[in-house]
This record gives sequence, C-alpha cells and structure tokens, in this order.
Amino acid sequence: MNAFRHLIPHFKKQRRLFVVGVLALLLTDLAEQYLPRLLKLALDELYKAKAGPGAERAALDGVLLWIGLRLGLVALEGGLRWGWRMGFFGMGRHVEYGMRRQLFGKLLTLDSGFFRRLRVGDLLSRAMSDLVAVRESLGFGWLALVDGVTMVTLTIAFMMRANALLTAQMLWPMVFVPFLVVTLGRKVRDNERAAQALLDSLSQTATESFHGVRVIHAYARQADENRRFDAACEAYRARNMRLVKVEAVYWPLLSFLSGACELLLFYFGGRDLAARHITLGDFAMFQAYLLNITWPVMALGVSSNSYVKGKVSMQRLNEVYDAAPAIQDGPEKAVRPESPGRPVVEFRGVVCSYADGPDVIKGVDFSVRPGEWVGLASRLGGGKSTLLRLPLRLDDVKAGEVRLWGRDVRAWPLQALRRRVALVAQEPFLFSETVLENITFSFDGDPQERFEDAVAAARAADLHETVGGLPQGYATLLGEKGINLSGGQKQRVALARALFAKPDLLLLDDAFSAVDTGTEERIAPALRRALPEAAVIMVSHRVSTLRLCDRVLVLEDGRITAEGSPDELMQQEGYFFEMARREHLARRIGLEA
Amino acid sequence: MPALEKNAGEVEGPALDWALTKRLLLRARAQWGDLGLAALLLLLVSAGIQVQPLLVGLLLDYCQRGDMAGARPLFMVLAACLAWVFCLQTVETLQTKRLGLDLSLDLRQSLFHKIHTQSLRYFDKNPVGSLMTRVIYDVETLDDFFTAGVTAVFQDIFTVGLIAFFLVQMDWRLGLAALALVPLLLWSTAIFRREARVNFRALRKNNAAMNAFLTENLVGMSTVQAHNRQERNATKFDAINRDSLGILLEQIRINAFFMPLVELLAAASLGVVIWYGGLRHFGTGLSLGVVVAATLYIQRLYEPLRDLTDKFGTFQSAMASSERVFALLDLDPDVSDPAAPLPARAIRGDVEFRDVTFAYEPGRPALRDVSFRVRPGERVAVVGPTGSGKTSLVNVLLRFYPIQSGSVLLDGKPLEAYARAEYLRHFALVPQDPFLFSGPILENLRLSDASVPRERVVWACRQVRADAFIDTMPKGYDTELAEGGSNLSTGQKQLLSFARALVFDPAVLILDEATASVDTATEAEIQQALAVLLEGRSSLTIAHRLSTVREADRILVLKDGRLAEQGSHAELMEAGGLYKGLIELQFKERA
Repeated sequence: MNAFRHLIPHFKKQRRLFVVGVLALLLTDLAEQYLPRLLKLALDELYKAKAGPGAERAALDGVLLWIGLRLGLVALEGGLRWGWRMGFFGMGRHVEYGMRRQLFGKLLTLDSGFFRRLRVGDLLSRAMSDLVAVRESLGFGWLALVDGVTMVTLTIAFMMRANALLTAQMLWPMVFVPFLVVTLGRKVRDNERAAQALLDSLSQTATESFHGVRVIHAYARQADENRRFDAACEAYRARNMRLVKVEAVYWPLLSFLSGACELLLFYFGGRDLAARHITLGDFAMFQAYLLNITWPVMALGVSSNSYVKGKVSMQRLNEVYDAAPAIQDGPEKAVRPESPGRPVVEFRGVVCSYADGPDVIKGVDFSVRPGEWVGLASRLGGGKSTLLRLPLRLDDVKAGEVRLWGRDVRAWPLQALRRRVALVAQEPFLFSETVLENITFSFDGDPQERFEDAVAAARAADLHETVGGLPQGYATLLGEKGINLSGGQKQRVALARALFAKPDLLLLDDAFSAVDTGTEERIAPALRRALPEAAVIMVSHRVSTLRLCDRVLVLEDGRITAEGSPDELMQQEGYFFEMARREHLARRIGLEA
Repeated sequence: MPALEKNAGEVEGPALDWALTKRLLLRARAQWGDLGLAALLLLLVSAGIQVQPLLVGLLLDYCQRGDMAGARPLFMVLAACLAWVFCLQTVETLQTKRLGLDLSLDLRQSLFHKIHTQSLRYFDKNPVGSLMTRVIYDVETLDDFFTAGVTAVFQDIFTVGLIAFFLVQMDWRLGLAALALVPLLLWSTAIFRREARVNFRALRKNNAAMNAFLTENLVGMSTVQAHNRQERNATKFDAINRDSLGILLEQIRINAFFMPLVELLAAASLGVVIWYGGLRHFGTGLSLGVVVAATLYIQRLYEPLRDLTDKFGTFQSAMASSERVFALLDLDPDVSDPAAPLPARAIRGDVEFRDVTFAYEPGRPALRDVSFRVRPGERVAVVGPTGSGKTSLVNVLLRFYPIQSGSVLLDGKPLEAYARAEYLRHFALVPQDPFLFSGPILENLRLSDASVPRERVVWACRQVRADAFIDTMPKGYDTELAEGGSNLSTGQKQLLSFARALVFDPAVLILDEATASVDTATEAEIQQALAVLLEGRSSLTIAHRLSTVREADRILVLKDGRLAEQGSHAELMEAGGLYKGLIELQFKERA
C-alpha cells in the first residue's frame, strides 16, 4: 500500500501552488545557466582586449554591459525564487495544515481502545514532529528532486554545448555520486533511525524514573536508576558514534568528488587555455557551472534522505488515519424514547472486559426505570467502571446488549445518544477553561446564554458556595494556568456538568468518593429534585452512598449475586451486609477518609 | 513528550552570553585538548580550501602565457590540497562529533544524577515534563550547538577571514573593492534577523498553545466525546492550526526576500571586482589570473556570511538551554549525606520523633513539635482528619523533605547521621497510589535489583495473595506491565505494591493505606496478608481502616499538625478525648 495515500488528496488540493513552484523553479534553473555565460563574456572583454586606450575603454564598457545584464538577471531570479519558495514550501505548509486538521478530526472519532494502544505523548509527537517531517519531505524533498534533476540536466547540456570534450573530461567522477548516495547514504539513514529509537527508549526510562520518584527514593534505588539511565545513554552514544563514522566518510567523499572534477578542469582546461582552444572566460564559466551542479547532486542525496524520513513519519501517521473507529453511529436517525414507565436502560446478558483482559463482567441482567436509583456494590476490579461506560458507548459490550428505551444502544446515533446520557467519573477530567465553561461543556453556544442553568446545576451539586469563594467566581480559570481544585471540588464540578445536560440517564462512577458524607447527603435530595425523571446508576465503595439508592445490586465475580433495597440487603447475610458492618464500625471511630 | 516542546518555547535572550559560554567551556575542561585539535583541524581544512583560488589564479597566468611546465607544479599542489582537505575533513568530522557526543553524555548523566539527589520539594516544583526538557531537549540543543553551531561558526569565521586575507594579499586595492559591499550585507542581515526573530517567537508561542490544546483534548478525549464536543473542539483547534500556517507562510516570505538580496549583493560585488580588476589590468598590468581568483573568492564569501546569520537561532536556544542546565547542576540538594555516615548494616527499627516541626512552605507548618517513638517491632497507626499531617510524618521519616527543627532518630542516632540510601534499605514504603514501572512484574517487585532471587518475589506474592491473578496471566511473573501498570486493576496494583515491600524484608514498614480505591472486602483479604508483612518489624501506618487501628499497638491522633493523643484503642476510648469524641459524634449520626 502506498505510504503517502493520505497525503495525496491534500497534495492534489495544493496542485496549483505545486505547478507555480515547478514553473518558477524551471525558469530559475534556466536563468541560472546564463549567469556563468555572462561572467565569461565580461571576463573575455578583458581577456580579448587589444592594447590601446580606446580598446581598453571599449572593453571596460563591455564589462559594464555584461555585469549590468548579469545583475538584472540575478534580480529577475530573485523574483522567480520567491515564486518557487512560496510554491514548494507554501504547498508543504498548506498540506501540513490540512493533514493536522484531518488528524485531529480523526482522533475525535476514535475509541478508548485506540487511546489505550497509542499514548498521549506518542500521539502528540505524531501530530507535531511527524507532520513537520512529512511537510519537509514534501516541500524540500520535491524541491531537491525537481531542482536536482533540472539543474544537473540543464547545466550539463549547456556545458556540452559550450565544449563537449572538456565537459566529458572533467565531469566523469560524478558518475560515482549515485553509487555513494545509495550505499553510504543508506547506512547513514539506518544509523540515524536506530539512534532515534535509542533516544526514545532513553526518554522513556527517564520519564518513568521521574514519575516513580517516591518509590525510587523510598527504596533508595537511585544508584540503580542512575545505572540504568547511564547504560541507556551509553548505548545512544555508541550508536551515534557508528553514525558519525559513516558520516565522516560520506560527506567529505561527496565534496572530494566535486573537487576531483575541479582538478580535472584545472588540468584539461588549463591545457586548452595554454593552447588557446578556450578563453579565460570559458575557464571561469566552466568552474561556475561546476559549482552549479555540486549543490543539486548533494541535494539529491538529501532529498532521498528526507523522503525516507517522511515515509517513516507518514507510516506512523497512517496508524491514526487508518484506525477504524470501533464505535460508530447506529442506523437510526434519531433517539426515540419509548412511553414513560418503561425501563430507560436494560442490561441483557452483558459481558465485557477491561481493555483486552479477561472478562470482568460475565453476564449481567438488570434494568432501571425513570426516576429509579440503582446502586452497584462490588469488590475491586469488578468491572463496574467498564459497565458504566457501556450506555454512553465509550466502550461496547463483548456479548449481550445494553438497551436504551427498548433498543440496543448500538442502533442509536452517537450524538443524540450522548446528549441524553451523562457519566460522572471518580477522577473526572476538567478542562483548563473557566468554571462556567466547564459546567456548560455540553452546550454548543456561548456559555453566558445559559448562565442561570449553570448556576442551578452548580446549586444542585452543592458547588455554588464553593464557586463563590473562588477569586473570579464562575469566570475563574481552572487547570494549569488557573486554580487547582481539590478532588471533591472537581467531582462536584463534574456533577454539575452532568446535571446541566439534563440527562435521562445519569451514571455516577464512585462520583462522591472524595466528597464527605455530609455533603453527599445534601447533594442526594437536590439531585432528585433536579432530575426527578432520570434513571440513575451509581457505583460506590461506600455503603452510605449506596443507601441513597432505591435498589442495590451486588456484583461478585462478574455476576449479580444479590439484589434488593438497601434495607432488604441489610437483613441478609452476605457481601453488602459485611460491607455495611465494617464501614459502620469504621465510622464509629471516625476513620473515614 | 508533551511538555518538551512547550518548554522549548521559552527561547528569548542573547545569542551569546559570555558567563554561560565560559561555564560551558569550563565544563568541557577535560576535552580542551580535543577542542583545540578540532579548531586547528577546522583551520587547516579551511586553509586547504581557501588557498585554492589563489593557486588557480597563478595557474591561469602560467596557462595564459602557454607555460605548461610552470603550471605543472601548481597543479600538483592543487591536487595535494584536495587530498589534504578530504583527509582532514574526515578526521575533523570524527573529532567534533565525538566531542559533542562526549559532552552531551556527560551533561545528560550528570543532570539525571543531580535530579535524583533532589528532595521531593524539587519534584513538587518541577513537573516531569520540564525535567525531561532538561535531560533530553536541552542536552540535544547543546550537542547541536557544539557540533553544528560552534564548528560551523568557526569554519565560517576562518573562511571569511582567510578569503579577506587572500584577497588583500593578492592585491590590496582590488581586495578592498571586493569587500566593499560586506557592510551592506551585515546591515541588511541585522534587519532580517529582527524580522526572523519576531516570527520565530510567534511560532514558539503557537507551538506551545497547540501542544497544550492537544494534550488536554487527548487526555480528556472520552469527556469530549461524552459531551458531543467534537465539532466545537475541532473548530477551536482549527484556529490554532491556522495561526501556525500563517506564521509559517510569513517565515517563507521573510526568507524569500532576504535570500535574493544576498545574491544581488554577491552579483554586485562580482561586477565591481571584474570592472575594477579590468581597470587595474589595463592601468597597472594586474594579471587577469588575479581577477579570476578574486571572482572565485567573491563567490565563496557570501555563503558563510549568510550561514553565520542562520546560526543566530541555534546560539540563542543553546544559551537558554545552558542556562537551565547550569541552574540545575548548581542546585544543592536540600537533603544531603554527611561526610562520614554512620554504618547502617543492622537496624533494629527504633524510630523516634523529637519536637519535629516541618513545613512545605515557610510559615505554614504541616507538623508542629511532634514527638513520639516507635520501638522495634511495634505497630503504630496514625489517624486524623485530612490535612492533619499524616503524610508529612512519612515524608519526614523518609527524608523526602528536610525538617525545620527538632530531630528524627533511628536506633538512637539522628537520620542525618546516616547515608540516606543506607538507612532507607531498612525501610519499605507502600504508598497510597501504587506506582508500577513498565516492564516485567518480577523486575517491578524487586525494583531491578538482581541480587533478589526470583523465589523471594514469588514467595512474597503468595504471602499477599497476589499470586492468584499473576498465575492467570499468560507469562506469569514475566508478564510485561504497561506504563503505570495500566493493564491492571487498582486492587491488583495495590497487591503488587504490598508484595514489593515484603520482598525487601524491611525493619520499618511505612504503609499509607488506600482510601477509596480499596473496597472493604478486598481490604479484609489484604489485612490477613498484612499481618504476615507486619510480623516482627516496626510499622507506621496511616490508617483508614478499623481493623488496622484495632490491631495497632499504639495509635497517634494528629490534629492540625500536632500530636493530640496517643495510646491503644482501648486506652484512647477510656481516656475520653478527641478520639472517643469523634467516635461518639459519628455514632449519634449513624444510629
């Protein structure tokens, strides 16, 4: 498959720039051929001048004419250069823009499975450095290729026309250049790639070491960490040394070849000059022509290098472009809630797993009616979080189905579905925007328009007072450049964000874990008032939270082992009872976190 | 590395700072000989190249006269130059690049080691991203500075100097005429540089914004999707992306204007040389060979001058990087080892706090005059409301932070008297949030300490019942964990963290009990294993569980950084203080 398949459409869109670039470059290269000629003509005025003041004056006037023309041509070339720079580099940058836009657009459609596979840091380097590499290989790569080919062809043609024999005598060492580029050039690239990989693993080692500093320092493993890092650095240096050894021959050898051509010109050209077969101007012209082909020949080497780099980057980008979103719109055009009284959500024989691990939910059946609160109690790693991601389709079931309003969730269009279902996670993610913008996150327009609704949601989430205490109230910026909220405050902002959306189904994934019991008890009735018709599923580790529910399900080993109202469950021996007893005892001595 | 580019954006300031350059040079003291050799090689290479036009001029004069016999030795010398340049260039490349690699190896390792000598206060202040900038980006920049920047600048300066020298040497009048336009070039370069700098800064700023936006959206992707924010965020991103395009196009425009300007000046100089050379040829009989040689010099003069301006950015980044690098290297760790540490081979595990006062930030003490003792083998639980200083006890005991007053004694001697790494061998920490490295489970549990046998790790896992889930994994103890152990559940991570502590058989165990992440039933299973873990050693547990407190020999009750009460569960209940009060309050509410 063509590695550049996702680039081609963007490239095609910019073909006008490309054509402009190629045309301007061809003209530049053509104009470039006349510069050595004009140099020759100027020098030959002096070389051929007869003795005598009149002839000398005429020769100097001739020089003025040629160098004046030459200056004019250089100025014209300046304009043409502008054209090809804008053409090639501009094209590269427009393509970069388009591809980055497409990349982010694609990322927005991908599912959690994808983001578990490719980490944020990795994706970032794709969106930034890899796209730059592609841009460079496109702009510079094309330039070097077109320029290299036309410049070399044109120059050799002009040289041959001027003096075919001398051209052949001096240029033959250039035959070795492609051979060099293929053999040593490849070695350079291979080593560069290997070195990059080692730098990546070195970074990985350091990142982890810094993240794990508490553990490392507590177990006094610094010396060991230093050793590991040092070894990674040594390996990186060793690989770079191998690269340097190749480079130390590669580049000097390329200049050596062009130097050899020059030497041949000195020899054969000097002989011809002595024999008066050529003029002094011819000699200077040939030397200038030689300069003209030296760069493009090297550029061809660089071009193949940047092509390979671009290809590697492109392949990394293709992993994103080609990723199939595992979760897509269902066939239905809109969500059609069924008549009231029927369950909002039904889980039927649901089996799911975390990532690609073993099944954590091994067949669960239950349903929740409008206005009903259902609690889920289970042991650790019980897959409750995974279960709550299903109705929103942040993940899909492995077997069975989740039904919303009587239809499999996978039948509904995603946007419409997610407008009616809200999830509050234990560690909610807030954006570095204002409090208001965070609460009105699900609203597409100007947040100010819905200020009242946002305040109402904040009140229900027991957040309003807290916000009042912030420096700029609802306009306070959160996150890195703003204010860092405590865990409990974050949970309440997330809750307000969910309430603001007025969902038909509210999913609370241990969403009160950092909120104290008193607050929790204030929030519960406010929640009921704010969303009287909403079905609520809440997962919690705390009996106090679960007691707020109408019904509690006990999940053990991926299956529901007990079900009933909290009071009913309290009457039975079992997991819930045990959990309540322990917690009650702990509470009595004030050990709650 | 998200934060990498972000910090790299802070490029401002001078292109050459003498104090920093001096430090860089001092740092490379061991390589001074090599540096001098590299500079000499560069000079010799440049001389070998730049002497050629002069020789060509002479050669041409012989040829013009038809004197091939006179030309032959010159030709031989030119051939020798070519061979000379090739050989020396090879050696010079090897020399400078090796220098750069050696220097960056030394810097990178020193930086990493230095970072790990810092107390946690340093890590609190510097996010991992900025540490990574030091270790990776800044070092690469300095390597680049040496191998591409400094070398090229030397070469450019040698080239320009030699050309000027040879030009004036051949014929000083023609030479000066040839160089007449150089000041004009330097002046236009200064203007270009200003434009380019403004553009460069805009690009950096945009890069930082793009990075921040992408990071946030990628980390919070499921939140974005759950709220149907895809389109709006795509629009937001488009604005940043479009800015980037605009800045990059501006960059092309600036270059597209400047580069032709240089060409034009070169062409004008060439014209001056030929015309004035002709004038002198006719007037004083200046040889045409000299004129041709001068044209060759002119064609070689402008490239290095332009290149010098290109290096400005490299230098500026290098100065910013070296400033950050040295700032870190100069930083004295606020927790350091004594010159003659006490031996810490056998530790009984007798820990005593004497009037310890400690603050993370001056003026806001987290612990005030705390005194208590944990005798060898004693189990002590710490309780208290959030923010009462429980975690601070641990931080002080492990010397994560220095204390302001009082002392902490281990086996009767102050902690500062021991080498930190030595006494910590006898401690084990089980943090609230278990930290796992990417790599096999086995290495995670023995922390890559090869002296710990595999059997010990397996044994430890069996003790805490982590073996059950490890055995179900395809490769058992050799199963690779993902970054941060993200392929495990929170509970499984917790169990591994327990096993790790047990592996090292510590004299003192420090346990920061998990709160929300461990449910009551699993906790019960762990409690059983903990009994084994706690057996025969001193322990300090930040307790959130009833069973922990009940089984503790003594309970410390912290309030606002002060030790409010201490005693056993029964004693404290009987004493009827804060501990009992808390319980009764809760009891009334719940009953």
